[in-house]
Parts: sequence; structure tokens; C-alpha cells
Amino acid sequence: MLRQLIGGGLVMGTATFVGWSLASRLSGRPQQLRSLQTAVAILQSEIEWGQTPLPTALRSAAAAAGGRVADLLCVAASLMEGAPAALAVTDPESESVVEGQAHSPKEALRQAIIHHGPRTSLTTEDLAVLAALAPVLGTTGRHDQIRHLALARERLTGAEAQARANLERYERLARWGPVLVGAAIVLILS
Amino acid sequence: MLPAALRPFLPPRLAALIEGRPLPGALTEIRLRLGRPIQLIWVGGDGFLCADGRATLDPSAALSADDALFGEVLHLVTRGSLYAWEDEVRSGYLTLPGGHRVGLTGRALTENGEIRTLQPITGLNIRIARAVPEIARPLLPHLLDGGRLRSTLIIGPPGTGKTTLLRDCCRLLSLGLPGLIPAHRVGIVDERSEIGGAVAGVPTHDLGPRTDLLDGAPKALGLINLVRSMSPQVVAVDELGKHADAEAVQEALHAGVAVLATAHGWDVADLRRRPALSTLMQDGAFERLITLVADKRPGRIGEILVASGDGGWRSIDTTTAPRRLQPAAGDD
Repeated sequence: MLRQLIGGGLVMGTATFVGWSLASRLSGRPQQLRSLQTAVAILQSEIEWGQTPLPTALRSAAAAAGGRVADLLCVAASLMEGAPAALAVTDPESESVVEGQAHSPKEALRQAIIHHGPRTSLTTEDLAVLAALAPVLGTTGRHDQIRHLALARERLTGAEAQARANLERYERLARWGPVLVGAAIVLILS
Repeated sequence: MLPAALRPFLPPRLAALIEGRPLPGALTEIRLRLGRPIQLIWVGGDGFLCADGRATLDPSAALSADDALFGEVLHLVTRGSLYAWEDEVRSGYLTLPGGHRVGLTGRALTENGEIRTLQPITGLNIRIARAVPEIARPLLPHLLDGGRLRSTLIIGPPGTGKTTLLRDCCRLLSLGLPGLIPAHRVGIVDERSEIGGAVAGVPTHDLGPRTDLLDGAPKALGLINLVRSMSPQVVAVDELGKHADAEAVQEALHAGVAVLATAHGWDVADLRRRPALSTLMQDGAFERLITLVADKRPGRIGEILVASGDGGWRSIDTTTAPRRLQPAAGDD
């Protein structure tokens, strides 16, 4: 009896955790997409009006964005500056990153997305918007940079609208679905 | 050896190659042309960099600046932010901390007859700036007459050390040479950041304790602003050439400020052929003319010329020991 109780508790606990994790990821996505839009807007402003060097501009964008998105942008900035072990601190398996060597914006952003993207609630499609910026960021004149950033913002706005619709539609299902499945398993096994 | 301030702007493998083997003279330029051999220029010669760090005269045996290496250097010198250097790219150069200058070439995109940008950039010339303290000490006493500093133009072909000499003149004038030259308030308009090698407006070269630096300002505008705002006794500018520069020099002289300047040219005849400079020469703006000659060491003086008053110039004997000044009250 005691074993059944413990087993049932474990199944319910795990199911609840899975449900809440899924719901949290679902509700985190629009928030992070909004943060990313803020970051891109700051980046756009820093480039257009301040002609601020990219690492500093990325840090300003990170400060405005906050959370996991800020971590990703800060890592990209650190890699561009060749800050020692920018990724090794959080990911010891980042072999392609050479300590102390300044990376191109393309490589820095690519590495930051690879290593920090999965820690955000952003989907592969969301991160692809950021990845599309990587080859052009910092490599052309101001007007061209502004055009690319404006396009990225448009795409992120669209992604946010879609993420909010998904949240309304699937949040309850994501939160309580696994709990119900867990409860069903417990009932069947008992 | 590469200056420490320059090393962060070169990929480590390139810096290691350049520093790997000693060159016959001090390194002055590193030239990278996309897809072509990397050229090194040192005092007294040049050669192409080999994959083992040797310098060779055979371009086919040399290391090429491939896409990856060239892109890496371009990324480093622009700090991955080409958009932040648009004005510099338009002008064809940008200045690194330490006053090292990077010349840029590539495909020029024009708009209304003016260069809008270079896209793509396919050539880089990294010119190494070296401060040579005390280089101007033997020269300075000859620039004074009756205890007053005379406006001076330093001329010489590229690479003879005009900026180096000007920088040290500023430093020593600002410092003063006890019993010989009183300390002066010096103002520098450093349009290309080569004199002071400033980073965020703060000079990385020693310019003396009484020197004000206006970094990045166009010469003509900067000269007038500096005279108004900082009341210098001496103003210094590099590479005069435009009519606007000449007018600003005249303005400064009318305000009672001595001008130290440099210009490209071989001799007085060369200056007279350049419209803006010939006006200055005709108006007697400069009372001293220093010609520099190419030599292993920068700032090698060819001749010191003194305005004779009738529009002509007489050469002075530089071996004569300068007279010592009597200490005067109020010298600052």
C-alpha cells in the first residue's frame, strides 16, 4: 500500500512538473520575443544614432531585454571582445570557441545562439531570425544595418503574435494535460 | 616587434608570424591585399611574409591574405562594427589606439560625385606609429627668435616622420626646456588622431603637461575653436593642404598664436605649387621651414630655413649651439 502511494505520488509529481514546464515555456516565448524586439530596437538605435561599437551596443540591448535573452546577447558581446572563456563558464563543451580570441559578429552570434538558444523559450524559427542577422551584423554601413534590423523586428513581431495565439489556445492543455495523464496512469495501475 | 597597442588588432597567428623572426629594420607597415601576398615594410626595405615567418622578395613564396585572414583583420580593426567607422571609411583610413593608421582601399561606391563608402574593402595598410621622445630637442631652439616661438612648417615626403617630429615638438614646448625654452600652452587639432593616438579623446602618446587635444575635429574648424576656447600660445596641426586649412592658420596667426604644422612636399618649390600652401607662403605665415629627408630614423632634418623677409629663405647652420635664455619671471 505504501509503495503504491509513493509510486502514485512520484507519477503525479513528475506529470505536474512536466505540465508546468511546458506551460512555462509556452508563456515564456511571447515574453522573450517581446524582449528580443526591445533588444533589436535598442541595437537599431545604438547603431543609427550612437554609431556605438557592436559589443557595447549588444550589452545595451541586453540590459534593456533582461532575462535569458540578455544572457545570449551578453555572451555574443563577450565573444566579440575575445573575453576569456565567455562560453566555457556556462558550457565547457564549447570547443570551437578559442579563449581570448575576438570572434567576428557572425561567429559570436552563431555560437551564442547554439549554446544559449536552448536555454530560452524561443523556438528554432525564432532563433533563426536572430541567426539571419549574424552574417550581416557589423559588416556593412549604417543604413544597411538599420534595414536588416527593421526586417528582423518585423519578423519577431509576427512571431510574437503567433506565440500569443498559441498561448491562449494551448496553455491550459499544456499545464493540465500531463497532470490528467498522470492521474489516469495512477488510476489504471492502482 | 609589434607595438603592444597594435597586437589586439591582428589575429594571433599573424602577429606570431610577424614577430617570429627579426626583420632587418623596424617594421613600419603591414599591407594586406585580399587574395594576394602579405607585404611587410620596414625601415630601409620591404618583403613578403612567408608561412614560416621569414620575409622574402618572391611574392609567389609568400603567405596570401585569404578571405578568412583578411576578414579577421578587418573585423578586428573595425571592432566588428563597420557602420561605426563610416566617415573614416569614406576618408580611406581609420586610426587605432596608439595612433596607428589603417589605410583602406576597395570598390568605391559614389553618390553625387563623392565617395559614399567602400564596399567591399579589399586592401588594408596598417601603418605603425612610433613616438620617438627627444627627437625634436635639437631642433626647438632654432624655432625661437627673440625669445618668441616662430610659426613653423615641417615638410617632407610620406614616411619621413613629420608627425613624429611635430608630436615631440608639442611635448617639449608644453614641457619647456629650462633655461632654453619656456613652457607653452599648446593646442593640437588632431583630425586623424595620429598626433595624440587618442582613444575616446584621451591621448595615448605623451603630448606634454600643458597640451590640450581636440581629437577628430576637421583642421579648419578645430583650429578656430581651439584658439577661442583654450587660448593656446601654440597650435599644432598635421597635413595642411586645403584652402580652408590655410584660412584657419591665418586666423590663428592673427590671434597672435604660433602655428606648428606639417605638409607633404619635398622643398619650398613644391609648396609653392600647391594653391593653398602657396598663399600661406606668399603671406609670410611661416617664419621657419623644416625639410625632412628619408632616412632609417624618422624626423631626419634636411634643412632648417628661416624667412629672410623679402619672400626668400636662408638656410641656417644647425651645428651652432643654441643660446641659453635668461630665466624670466612669468615664464609658464
